[in-house]
Amino acid sequence: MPENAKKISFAKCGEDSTCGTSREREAAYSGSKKEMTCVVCPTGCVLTITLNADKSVKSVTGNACGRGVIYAENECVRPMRTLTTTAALANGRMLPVRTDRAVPRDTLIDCMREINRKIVAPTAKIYDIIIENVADTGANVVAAANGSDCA
Amino acid sequence: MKKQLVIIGGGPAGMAAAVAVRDHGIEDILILERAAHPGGILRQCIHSGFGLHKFKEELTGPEYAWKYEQMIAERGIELMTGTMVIGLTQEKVVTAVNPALGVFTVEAQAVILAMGCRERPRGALNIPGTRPAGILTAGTAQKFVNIDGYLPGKRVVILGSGDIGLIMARRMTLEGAKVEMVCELLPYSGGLARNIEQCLNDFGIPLLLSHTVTEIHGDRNLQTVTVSQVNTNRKPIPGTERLVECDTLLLSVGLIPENELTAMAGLTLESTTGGTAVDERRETAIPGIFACGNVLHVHDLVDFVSDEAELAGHGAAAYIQGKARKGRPLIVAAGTGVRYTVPRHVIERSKPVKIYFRVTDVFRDASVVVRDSRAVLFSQKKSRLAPGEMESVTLAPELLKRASGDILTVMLEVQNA
Amino acid sequence: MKLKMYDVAVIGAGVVGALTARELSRYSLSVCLIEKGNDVAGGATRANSGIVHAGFDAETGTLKARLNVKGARLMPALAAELGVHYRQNGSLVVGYNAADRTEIQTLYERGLANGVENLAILDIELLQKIEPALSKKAICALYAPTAGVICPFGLAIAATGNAMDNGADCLLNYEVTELLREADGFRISGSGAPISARFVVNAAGVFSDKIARLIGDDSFRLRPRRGEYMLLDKVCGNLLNHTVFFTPDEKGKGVLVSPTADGNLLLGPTSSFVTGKSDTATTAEGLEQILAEAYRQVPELPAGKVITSFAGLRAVGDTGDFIINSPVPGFVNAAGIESPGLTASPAIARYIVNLLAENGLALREKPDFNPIRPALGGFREKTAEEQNAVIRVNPRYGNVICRCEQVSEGEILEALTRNPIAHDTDGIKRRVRAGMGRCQGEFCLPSVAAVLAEELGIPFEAVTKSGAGSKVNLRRTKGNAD
Repeated sequence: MPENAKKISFAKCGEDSTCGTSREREAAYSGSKKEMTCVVCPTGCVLTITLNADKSVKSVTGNACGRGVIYAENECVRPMRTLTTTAALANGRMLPVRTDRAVPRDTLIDCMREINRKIVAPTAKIYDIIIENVADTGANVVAAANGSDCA
Repeated sequence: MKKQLVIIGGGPAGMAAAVAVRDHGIEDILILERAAHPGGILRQCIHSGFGLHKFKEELTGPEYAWKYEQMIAERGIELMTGTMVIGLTQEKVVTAVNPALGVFTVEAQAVILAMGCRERPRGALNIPGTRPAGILTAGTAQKFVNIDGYLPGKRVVILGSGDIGLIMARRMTLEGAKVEMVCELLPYSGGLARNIEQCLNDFGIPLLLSHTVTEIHGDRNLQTVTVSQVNTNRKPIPGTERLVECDTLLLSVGLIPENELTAMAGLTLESTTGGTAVDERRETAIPGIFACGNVLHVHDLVDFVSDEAELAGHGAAAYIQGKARKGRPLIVAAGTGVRYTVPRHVIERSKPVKIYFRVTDVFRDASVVVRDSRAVLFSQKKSRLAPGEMESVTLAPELLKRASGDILTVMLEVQNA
Repeated sequence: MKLKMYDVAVIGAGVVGALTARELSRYSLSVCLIEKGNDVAGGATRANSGIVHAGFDAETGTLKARLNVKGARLMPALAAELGVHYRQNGSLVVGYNAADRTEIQTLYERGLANGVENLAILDIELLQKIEPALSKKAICALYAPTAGVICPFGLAIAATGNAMDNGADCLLNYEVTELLREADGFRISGSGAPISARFVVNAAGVFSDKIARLIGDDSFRLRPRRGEYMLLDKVCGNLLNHTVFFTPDEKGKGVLVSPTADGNLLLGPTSSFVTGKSDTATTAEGLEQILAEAYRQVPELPAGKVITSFAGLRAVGDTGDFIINSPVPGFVNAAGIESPGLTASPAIARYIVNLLAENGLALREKPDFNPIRPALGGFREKTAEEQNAVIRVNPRYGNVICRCEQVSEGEILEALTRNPIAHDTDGIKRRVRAGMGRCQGEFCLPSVAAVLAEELGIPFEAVTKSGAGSKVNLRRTKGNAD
């Protein structure tokens, strides 16, 4: 590191004025409105959510389809995500895997931990269930490819 | 060896083209793929988001590739893996090499170029500083993590907020690394909004717009990078430098179509796309040589790669079947606000033509306008257009036939000044 | 404790040390080449212009001048013996004004005095004809057809390999920190097991003054002067036919633009003193300067075709000439080997051996000395028939791993099995060019690392870029290695 190094630790996301995340937009709203990007499909509609006094969803605008409303409702309560990752095959190669449905975002690290402990037989076929009910989410982890294609 | 059709590349473009050619009646097809398995870049794209348009399902890259592998197998299309194509002539002689056959040539009646693209390396960016270990393009890191099962480092800075950089921000985090930040030179991100949400916001990873890495430090391995804010001319602003400790710098700063073979055949490359110019059948300036997918222009969604590959496949089949095309070429030009269009010209005006294009900047409430030398022929309002999201307009035969002159210009008209 | 005793220890496996070891391996001697890095050619040898200068630059009568001309004469045959690609493409010192014209005349005369052959001064017409991409503002040039280009680290690697094939040892990761004079020679120690040598050659590059001081020679000081470079894609390789120099002025030789022996286009170097003897960072100012100056010579330079940039340190001595002497019996310095060091290196090696002989080293030629080292790499340059003959015997040559430079697995294995073997991905890169192409290893690095790990029998995560402290990967993400 150069002697005249200026080392500054980073401002929290949203506090730094150069930060361009939508959390910034969230913070900008007074509390009765929220803005977020829907992640259900690649279109990425920008949703504006009006909240009731008890912070439940009153209405959603900006969505191109009904899935956006469900997404907004989930996001306000407990955001859900599909997890895509890899699992180790017994021969040392990596098998792409995914959850067969969305899981709560706050369980992603637990799911990762469980998946990373697993050793999968190289004979696994695409869509075989690798782990049932991962991290007690109700979702299964399935193979996203054939083990034999992962050499 | 002689074949009716050789397809260079067994990724999503090559496979979809092969299926289309076969379904239009040509059987003597050979796909040449350099990796041990087909699928191309999709093999390492283990995230989801593929197939929503094409299959109405949200698939991961490997699942999308698998669908085409099954189609290839069902049709008995010949696929040679572990084979690197090293030469292509104007006369459609393909030279390739693999351990079993050594160096061999294939004389093809038609060739479809589907070689995809590579990433821009640090050296091409002229980032000054040292040259330690720990500097990788995002795609190489993706290969290490997803194919080989290794983590390049644990404290990561990512330069470039295109989708690959964003995807790797999440991937590295999930596998235990700390991603300190994503820096983006431009004042807007090139990636999909959903990726900013799922890959950065979900993990509290800051996105620094109008920032770039201006120096690299570390003797043997990366120790720190200097991050600076840039002005409207994208030049670093003195005094804004800050040092970020990291052991890994991932670069997601541009994809370059892999056109070495294209150039060998004598085709010229467009500076706007990095690919060669084609007509609506994706035929290049050399009759019988077609191009599709990322080698032609860098796509965002593989679904559109498949669509484009089907056009090329249909075109190649028609060419082999001797179906001549008539018509004066209509040149498609990129006007104000548009960086490029694919195709660059249209020959047959009796069928609808989908023109893909990219815009030069982020535009809100603009109209996409298609005009000839005399009048506006087509206009469509769009609430948001961005360089990172490829757009298209479909031109009906009536419009194509109505066009006077030889040039159609695709341009933007912004509503409010 | 009885230490391993060598006749000659050469400290520093740059191009001078490597060629010296190779010269010594002609004779019935035990030779040890000692290198502090994880690979040979780690200093200025791997970051210089790669030019074989004609020899008109150096002041007549200096060692630089004599050894430059001699080295340039020896280079073509040496390159052929060692299987290193040498291109005699000639050089042009280009003039833009009257002052340049005068200086070019001076260089011409100096060249004649130094014994350079076939020099000519070209007028504007001939100049534009033989170098069409040159700026139209150029008015004259000194043309030196005996100049050429060579891969400098390729030369050092090949020389080391040939020396080892002829019996020399090469010790890597050995930093010499102590040199003790003993009755029958020197005791060398540092980051490796101590060894003894009757004679020592100090070819430690920019660290030569440090090594000299270990035996009490304080007579010279070296200052590192950094030169930055940019390398352009091979598609630009044909832009110029010759190496193009500016007419030197009081600031120095300036930036050159040259095709390389491998077909790239090289721009550089800059020239500025730095404090650290390991400070090979590039700078924003340096890179800007390179482009600005290069554009003046070649207006159509496609700057968008840059694929990488790097920097090296010249070992600038304070005497104005090469410092090749014997300050104490049995010890030879080869210090301050800045430009024309690469060109002179074959001649420097012989000069050093003569100095050693004067010091009492007996030179008995080995009847079985083999000067030939088959070329490493370059498979892509063979004909398809030649390639297929090799692939039939070893199919791994049919597995192309580096797409940009068309390097096969077979060649990468050669880099890992032939003297001096590569131990890291940079070593493979410098031996067979895998990772040196336009994508700079973006495609092939994982595969190269895999071949290296398997051949050297190390875990994948232990693979380094350039030795200890430069691992390519940190750890496995999950599961067991296969």
